[in-house]
Amino acid sequence: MITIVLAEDHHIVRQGLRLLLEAEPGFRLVGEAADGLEAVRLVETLHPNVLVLDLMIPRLHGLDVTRQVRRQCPETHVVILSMHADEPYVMEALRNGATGYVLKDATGADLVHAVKDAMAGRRYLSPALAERALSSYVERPGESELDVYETLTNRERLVLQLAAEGHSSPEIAKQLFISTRTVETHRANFMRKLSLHSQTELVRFAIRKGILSP
Amino acid sequence: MNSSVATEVVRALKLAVFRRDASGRLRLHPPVPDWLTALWPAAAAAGESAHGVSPFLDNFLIDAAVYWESGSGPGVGSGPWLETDGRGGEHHLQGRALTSGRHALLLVEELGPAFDERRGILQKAHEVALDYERLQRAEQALAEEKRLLEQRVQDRTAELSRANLDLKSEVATRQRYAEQLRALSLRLVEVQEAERQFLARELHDEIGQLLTGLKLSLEIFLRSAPATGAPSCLEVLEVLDELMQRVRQLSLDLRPHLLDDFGLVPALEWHFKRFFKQTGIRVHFRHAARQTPVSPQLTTAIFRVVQEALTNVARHARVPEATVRLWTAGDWLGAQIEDHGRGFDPEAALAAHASSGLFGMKERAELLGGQFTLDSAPGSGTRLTVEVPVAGTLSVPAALHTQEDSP
Ligand SMILES: Nc1ncnc2c1ncn2[C@@H]1O[C@H](COP(=O)(O)OP(=O)(O)OP(=O)(O)O)[C@@H](O)[C@H]1O
Ligand SMILES: [Mg+2]
Repeated sequence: MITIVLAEDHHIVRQGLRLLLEAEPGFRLVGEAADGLEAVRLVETLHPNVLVLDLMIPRLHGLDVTRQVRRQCPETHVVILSMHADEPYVMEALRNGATGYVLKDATGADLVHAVKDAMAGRRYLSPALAERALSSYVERPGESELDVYETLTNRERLVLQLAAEGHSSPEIAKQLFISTRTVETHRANFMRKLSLHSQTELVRFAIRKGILSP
Repeated sequence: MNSSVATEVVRALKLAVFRRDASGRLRLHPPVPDWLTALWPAAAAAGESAHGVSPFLDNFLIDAAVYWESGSGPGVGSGPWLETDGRGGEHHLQGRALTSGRHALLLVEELGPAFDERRGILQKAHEVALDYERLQRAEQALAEEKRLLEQRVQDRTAELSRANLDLKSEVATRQRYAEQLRALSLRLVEVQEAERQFLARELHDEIGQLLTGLKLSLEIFLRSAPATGAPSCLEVLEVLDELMQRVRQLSLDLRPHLLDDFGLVPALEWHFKRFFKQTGIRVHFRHAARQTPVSPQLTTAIFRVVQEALTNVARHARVPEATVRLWTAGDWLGAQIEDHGRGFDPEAALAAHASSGLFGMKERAELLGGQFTLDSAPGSGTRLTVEVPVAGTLSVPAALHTQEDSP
């Protein structure tokens, strides 16, 4: 027999879930909560095997509920119910100690699976999530670090080039047909972006970048 | 004096000389000048007395008599006068009473051309005087004109400075309007965003939950339903799934909840995946490892700009991939969207005002005190850079809590 506490604020959803869980042989619903605080209190008094928990529940966020339950009643496993299929939500839930993560628009059979797996201490994700996690792993191209030089605008690159070559701001202004103040603004911008603080550092950077030959 | 020489002089001077005899009569002394013959023929012929020929002369002779009687001084003059002869000829005459030794003499001179000349001079003088008057009048008129002109200039200046003042207050008013407009625009963007957020949440949480409840109920009903009703019930379930999917998409289109729950980087990553699915364009995301937390306002602005710029890449650039960069530098948050596609003339596109995309991005950046830079040219791709100051109230995005929270 698996004892279950159900925490879900939406009346209609809770009703559906109750019917679903009660209909499953071997499941026994021992308590229902409509908010996070109540959920934590019920788990502490009832020590169920599984807490089926809505992620977006009022008065204490689902993640906080999960954390507290895992700390205070480690024998109770948490199965998260969520509308969100996105990776960060799943990751956060798992990091905070959830054993299962079920999408609300999945079928009822999914939840039953998750509860059973949780009882056995196995991690369960809705099939859609498992696929997604895999595909996102495949899709993700080899992300490389940001090259700050590339964030410079055309004008900033031009001013940088001339400044590195040793031209003064008024000289640059004359060459580019802009005001000295504008040159100074561009200069301040790229110095800030590149974390450079002096002409020496600028020249060193330009040489390293191949903008200036040593 | 040699008497003949004296006679010649008298003749040349056209003098009429009268000598006063003991009885007081004035007798003409030869030679007799022509003018006298013409003027007073009777007196000239008879060597008659000067008395009674001219009222003016008679008058003068009264003074002259007094002089002769007293017998002292250099003599008296009559001053010039005018006589008209029988033929209408005019003679300007001048008389002088003298004493020469024992003789009392009266000389009458015809002033002739010399006098005319003098008169001419007088005339000239008179004319000059008149001219002078005219000149003075002209000068006065000129001065008046000048005064009027100055008055007009003064009036005009006053008018101008009034206009200038008006203009200044107009400029101030416009500046105030511009500021109000800016505040309003900012508010509008915020309201719109809040509205979207509300709708997205409502769709997702409320409607989505209702549909979920409905679906669960149907599933449970299906288990105990008579076999005959099952097929149509399954159909309803399918429709329900479709509906839930639509609601979710709609909610995400309005505003991705990741943005509010996890911030910019996860929301962008999510968006790039979705974008790839919809367009086939792969987005390479480059960002600095650590991001300083920024206000939801900025997060939203940057997210929207990236979204809009990528839409442009998909619609106009004709490329299979694009790069998005995200960074913080000092107190600035920057994002850049780059593609190596068709490119275009940014100035023309911005000036055209026909589209709302680029303009909206620029406005969004500028409303937040930031910069918008568009580097593009036909054939050489597009790089759009937006940088906004992180200044002001820094509120951490409503991210989900993490483990660092205190117990
Ligand atoms: N990445 C790009 N590559 C090539 N052309 C572009 C790119 N981005 C913008 N353009 C050009 O600039 C024009 C203006 O872009 P903008 O986003 O303002 O308008 P739009 O995309 O045509 O319409 P919308 O108002 O719906 O965004 C586009 O019509 C297109 O010609
Ligand atoms: Mg566009």
